[in-house]
This record gives sequence, C-alpha cells and structure tokens, in this order.
Amino acid sequence: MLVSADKIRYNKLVIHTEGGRGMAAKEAKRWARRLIFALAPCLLLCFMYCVWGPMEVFVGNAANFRLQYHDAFWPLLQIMGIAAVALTLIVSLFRRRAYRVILAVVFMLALCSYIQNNFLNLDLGLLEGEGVDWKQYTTHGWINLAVWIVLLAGGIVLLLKLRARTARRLIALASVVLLLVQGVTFGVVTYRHLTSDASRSREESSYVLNGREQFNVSAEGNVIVFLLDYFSNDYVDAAEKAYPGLLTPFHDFTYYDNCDSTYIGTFPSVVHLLTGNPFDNTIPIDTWFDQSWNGADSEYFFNTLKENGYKFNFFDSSNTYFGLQYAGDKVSNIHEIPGDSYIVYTPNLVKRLLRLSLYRYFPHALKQYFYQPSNVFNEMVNMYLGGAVICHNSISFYNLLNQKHLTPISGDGKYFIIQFLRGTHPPYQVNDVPEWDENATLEQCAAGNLKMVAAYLDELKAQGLYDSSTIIITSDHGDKENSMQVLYFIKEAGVTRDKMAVSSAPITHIEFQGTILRNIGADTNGRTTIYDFADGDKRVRTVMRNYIDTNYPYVRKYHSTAQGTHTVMYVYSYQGDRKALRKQVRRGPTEILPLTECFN
Amino acid sequence: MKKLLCIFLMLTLLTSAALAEGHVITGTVTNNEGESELNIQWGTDGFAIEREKGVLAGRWQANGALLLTLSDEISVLLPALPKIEGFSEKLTALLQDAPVYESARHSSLYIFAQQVELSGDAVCAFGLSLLDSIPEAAALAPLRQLLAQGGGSEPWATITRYLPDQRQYPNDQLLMFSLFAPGLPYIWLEIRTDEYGVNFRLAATQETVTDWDETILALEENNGESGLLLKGFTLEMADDEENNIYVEAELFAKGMDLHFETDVYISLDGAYDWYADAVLTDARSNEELYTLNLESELVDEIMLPEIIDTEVIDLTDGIDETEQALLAEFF
Repeated sequence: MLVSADKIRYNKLVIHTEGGRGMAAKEAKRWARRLIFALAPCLLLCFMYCVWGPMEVFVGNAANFRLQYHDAFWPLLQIMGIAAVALTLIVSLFRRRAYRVILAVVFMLALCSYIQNNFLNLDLGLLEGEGVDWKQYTTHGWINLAVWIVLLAGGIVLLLKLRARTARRLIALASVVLLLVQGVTFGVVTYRHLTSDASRSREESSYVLNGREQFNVSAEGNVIVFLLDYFSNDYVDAAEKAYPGLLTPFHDFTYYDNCDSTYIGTFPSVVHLLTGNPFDNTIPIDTWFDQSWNGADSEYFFNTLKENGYKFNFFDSSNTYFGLQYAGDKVSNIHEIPGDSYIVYTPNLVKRLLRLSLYRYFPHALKQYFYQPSNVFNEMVNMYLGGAVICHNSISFYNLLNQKHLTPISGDGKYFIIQFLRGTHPPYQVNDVPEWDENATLEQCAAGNLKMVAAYLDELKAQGLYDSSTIIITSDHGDKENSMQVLYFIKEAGVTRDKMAVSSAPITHIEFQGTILRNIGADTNGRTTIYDFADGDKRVRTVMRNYIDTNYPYVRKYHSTAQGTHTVMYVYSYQGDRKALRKQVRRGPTEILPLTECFN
Repeated sequence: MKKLLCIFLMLTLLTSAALAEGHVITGTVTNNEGESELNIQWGTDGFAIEREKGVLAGRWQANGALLLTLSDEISVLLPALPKIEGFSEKLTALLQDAPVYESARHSSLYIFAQQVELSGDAVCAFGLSLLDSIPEAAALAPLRQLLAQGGGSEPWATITRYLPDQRQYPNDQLLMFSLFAPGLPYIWLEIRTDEYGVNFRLAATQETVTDWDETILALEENNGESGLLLKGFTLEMADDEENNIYVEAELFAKGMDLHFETDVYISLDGAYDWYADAVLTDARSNEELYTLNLESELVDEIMLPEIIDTEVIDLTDGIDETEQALLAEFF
C-alpha cells in the first residue's frame, strides 16, 4: 500500500523536525555541560576579585574604615553574583577549542591571582597616604611579570594539551578546591571579625570632631594651641635658614628650643598631652583611653577649665587617634553618630573596593595603576550628618581661613582651642607660599605651615583678640629617628616683644596641663609648668617610640583581628638637649616595653 | 759630659727651629698622676709636643714614614700608617649584583635587604683588594702571599646591606659583615650610616657563634675574656659657625671596659680652629683614666725643632719580622 504524499510530506516534516529537535536538544545539552564546567572557575575568579580580595583588607583594617561589614559585603556579594552569572554565560557561549581556551584563561587568571596574593605580594607598607615609590620595585616588577607570563601561558598550553574532558574536569575540580579553601578562610575571618570588638565598635556610635566652629574664636578670651603634626625643632632651624625672617611674625613668642613630646606618634602623644596620663603598655588601648579621659588628672584639668569659663574645641580630621568615645563632655565639639547613622556612597565605595582588589591580585607591574591611599575610603562614607562638618587640617584650612576669616563669638564663654594641622607629616603637600604642592621639600613645608599659623595670628589681630590670647605652637611629635624633639613657641596673654625670646629650658609635654592652667590663672594642683625649668637645668627626661623589635612577639592591632605593626616601645632616657637625646638614641634604648596591643 | 751633650743638642734643637704656618694646640692632660699642660705645634712638615718631661718631635718623611725623636739621642723611623680607603664602598661593591629583598624587616627603619655569601677565594680576593689600597704595602708582603693562595669554595663570610625607604631617609644604610673562616676568629662588623654620622660595632671571638646578638651581649656583660667588642658612634652637627663632631666608643676586652668620648668643635671660618674634650673612662669602676682638653689656633708660624745628630732606629723592616711572627701564630 502506497503512503500518500501528504503523509510523506508529514513524515519528512516529522523527520526534519524531530531531527532538528534532536540537534537542538543535543546542542542544549552541550551548552548546559559547558555552563556547568564554566561555573566553578568563573565563580572562583569573581569570588576572589569581588568579595574575598576587598573583604580581607576590610577585616584586617576595620578600625580605619568608617563603615560596617555589611555595608561593604552585601553590595560586593551582589556584584559577585551578577559577574559570575554573566561571565559563566559568556564563557559558555564559546564552543569547542575556543571554549577550552577561554576556560583555561579564566582558571589560570584565578590561579595566578591566588598565587600573587598569597605568595608574591610585597609588603608595600601601610596604605596611609605616604605613597609608594614604584621606582624602587622595578626589578621586582619585571620578575613578577615574567612569573605571571610563564604561569599563565604555561598553564593554558598544558590544559590545552590535555584531552578536553580531562581538562574540563581538572579545571572544575581545582576551582572547587580553591573556592572551598578560600571560602572556609573567608568564613573563619568573617566570623572572627563579626565577633571582635572591631566589629562591635562599628555597631556602636562613632565619634567625630565637628569642624563647624573651626574658624570661631571667643570674644571673651582664648587659649589657642596649634599642633603641627611631625614638626621637629630641627625643622624650625632648617626652615629659618632657608627662609630668613620666617619667624618675624612670632616676635612676641618665646621659642623653647629644648622641648620633647615624651611620645613619638600621634598616638599616644596627643591623649597624653591632653589628659596627663602616661601610656601603659600592659593594658589594651581602649582601657588606656578610658583611664586617660576619666582619670583624676583629666577630670581636674577639664573641670578647672570649665569652672574658669572655658569650653574646649578640638579640631582634627582624623578622629581615630584619641579615643573620643571616652571623652564625654570634655570636648565640646564631639559629635556622636549612632551606629547606623551615616550615609555610604555605595557605588563609589564598590568601585574603590574593586580597585583595591585589583591592587591586591594584579601583577606588581600593574599595581601602581590601582594604588589608592586608605583615606579615600573616608570619602565614601558621610559621617558628618546632623550638622557635623569635617575639620580642615592642611591647605584647605589656610584657604578657608582666608575666605571665611575668624568670627568672634560673644556669650559663649571663653575658648580653649586646639587646631591640629597636618604640619610636616610626610609626604609634604604644602610649599612655602603656602599652596598645594606634592613635590614640596621639608623646608618648604615647614615654612608654609608656619605661614599658615602666622595668617591665623593676623586674623586674631584683625579681630583685636591677639594680645589677650595665650597661644602655643607645638607638635605632637618629631621625627622617628634623629629629630625627635618638637617645636614649641608660646605667647602668653599680654606679652609683647620686639624680638622672639629663646629659652633652652628642658621642658616636655608633661607640662602642658600645668602651663595652660597657669595661663588661665587657675591652680595647677601640683602640676609642673614650663616656667618651673630654666636654661641649664639638669633634668632627666624620657622619650618613647613604637618599634619593630623582632625579639618580641607581635601583638594584635587595635580594633582589628589582624597583626599589628610594632612589637615594643623603646624608651630613651637622657639629660641635656636634642643632641643628648640623639646620642642616647644612637646608644640604644634604656628600657624596652613590650606592647599588649598595637595601635597600627 | 752627657748632660752637656744634652744641653748642646737641646740648644741646637731650639735654635734650629723651623718656622712655618700651622696650628698651636694648647691644653691639659689629666690622669691619676695629676694634671699637666700640653703645648703642641702642628704643621704640615711635622709636630712638636712639649710636656713637662720634654719635647717629643716628629717629622713626616716623603714616603709617609714618621721620624719621631724620643730623646736627644734617639729617633725612631716608623713606617707609614696603612690607610684602607673606601672600605665601606668596597664592601658595598660586592653587593652590586645581589638581588634586593623588598619586604625585609630589620627594626622599624629598614625594609630592603641584599646579601651575598663569600667563599674563601672571594674573601682572600677582597683582602688583596684592600691591601692594594694601602701605600707601601711591601711591608705586608707575607700577608699578601698568604691571601694569594686563596681559601677555597667553602663560605667564609656574608655581607648584608639594609636600606630604608629612600624617599624619607636617602642617606641611611646598615652594612653588616660577618667572617667565619676556619682557623680565624669569628668577626662581626656592623656599620650604620645616616646623615648625622655612623654607628659601628666590631666584635671578634674565638668561640663558635650561632647568634651574633647573643654573642655581643655576652661580650658586654662578661669580662670579654672570650673576645673583644668595640662599639660606638659618631655624631656630626653643624651650625653657621662651627661643626661639632662627637665620637663615643666603648671597648670590652680582656676584663676591661673602656669608654672613650670626644667632642670636637671646628670653626667654619676658614681657619679651622678647633677645641676638643676627650675622656677615657674605666666603665666598670667609673673612674676617669685620662681627660684631655685641647684648643687649637691657626698661626702664621710654628716652632718645629730640627732633628740632627741622633741615632735613628729604623722600624720599617722590623714590622716585617713582627708580622711574620703574628701570621705564623695564626696559620
């Protein structure tokens, strides 16, 4: 019996359709298989670059980030998810040899990045804005790049030489193993962070110094202290030599050319200066902060200031060095920010974090294109809400001073003001004009900072408040090696001179509280003042600095689960002047104090 | 008769004084015998040191040797002092091709490190290069011959250099040299330089060293019976008017602990007048053994006595014999 033509047509159609369906099904199966085998390496690469890279840095430096874990983690996780899906889909679209090549490239990129991060990365220092001199690493960069090329090319060639199935399975297995290893580590690190005080402190309120009144002075009386960061008295001499007449604006002042700051480092120098509490290396830093701000010396000093009609305005942009959470109402311009009360600029934050990831994982030769100092992350978070304003500490302070001038305030009592400026902290960013200049020399930067202070004094004069003000210009610390003493100029209220006086009395910042109290006419309650010492006095003083001494164990970093940088505090006892201190530093420490916790 | 001869020679010395520009250095020396005054005439041709006990005069010879008159009858010809120039530079040159480790940590300051290990042959070659820089090295010929034999391929020494962040401390470096050649004392030399001066430590011991920090501590705390340690530093600071150079050194050896410090202030007005205080102290008893206070002034004319008709004892040959005896002792 013959089959009708229709049926034949139908059968052909069926054969064609069923054959096409078969082909499509087979192709779909192949694509699904490609997808499955692409998933692990793509997920690995995206996990490393989008989540693990940035979050590992975050957890290790949590104290420096003004945001909480989840602020960074959730957006990054979303990015990772989207990227992993997209990459997997793209890779799976390639077929046969092209697919094998792309798969090998993705996997080897992930593997090389893993090796770079775990074994090949150099210690490029703290990302604290001092910059990296990339020229120092040229040789290393070339060697590192060569390693990458060999690994990448070699790995890809090897994988292509294997049978396709073997290569696919090997890549998948290795990717899963690396994912598991890093995933477990990530989990452990995350758990440790979330249960640490570093994380808890972020959930609690943060405290910043409000700069809203930075250019206000009291119409009723002022004690003004300039802290110029990292400013040694050697720098004063060097700047004056380079710029004769630089100190002319300070002719009413006395230059105490033999002053030391007791501690080298903003922490713990500034808190010691303000509270009179010596640093205790045997206790955690938060405990010391608490004891400092709430100890008897501190209570007396700040209560006496209040009783004499003074309120304390402290202007500094860094916030983190002072344990402000323990200062209570001693500092009038502390601004509390509840734990969740800040704005995160998420898109910018994610971009910065991904850039950080590239910096960690990329070959050394490319790192310089992704370098960024850690303080850029502060710009990703706006903590200055509810009327809080950031404090200015460098050329912006000077520019705003010229723009806004000083405003005298009546009816608000007298002011005890500390203006903490960047000073001569490297890298030098201000020149002698002063203006922004990232190529400024030490002498230029020192001169520029003194000119900024002189401009402030001119503003005081313009307001008729200069003569009645007590003004101190000093520093929290000097150099860390040879120029450890600090500049110290003081003009007492009502004092005028034709020429700057000079005293070589051996003074320290231990005298800070007593000197302030003396100048406001209050009882010093047994504290020494700078006036208790005279030229030629024989006084044994000590200067202390943090140090990496490899004979002592490393300790935990403050508000972090990571290891701290320093292990000890070196103590140098000396009698005499800066030269005697320099000699003692060369002889070595007179005492070594092991740290319990390291600030950075 | 002898006294007359002395007087005659002294008169000859005094009347035959050579006149030239130089420095007059006056000062005092104090020890447990009391205080005595010093008067030194110092010029480019020689010097004369006048003390209560007499005059000690010296004349530089053309070849760098020194003719030293000890008395009116005897002079001694001393060989030129060896000056090993550029020692640090020679050490550093050996590191030229060494890889730089860029995450090395030695204290808070140093973050880069280079190290080379020197074989016996390399150490001998280095020693020969040092001898080449010494004038009149003929006196050291036996040593030269010994070094020329080489030392083999076994490691005998290491040189390590640490550098800090060059942006902030461009003049700083820490150089360490450790010698552990068979048959020789263990030697450690550490030189740290910065813009203000040098810190140095030189230790030598016959005992096997596994940790130099511990060894140096032992040399300081014990009586130094097992070796010697010399450590100290220089500090140089200048202002518009004068340059101040301070040197401090402490020697631990053979039960002694001697502390030396000197402070020299040199004027920068072209005359280079200077004044100095130096103290040598027994650090264990804290007893000042010698103190020296000197002041130097540039003058147009100094008095340098002529040295005539004295018996001259030439010690330049004698050094060879002594050196040979020393080498035989070690090798």
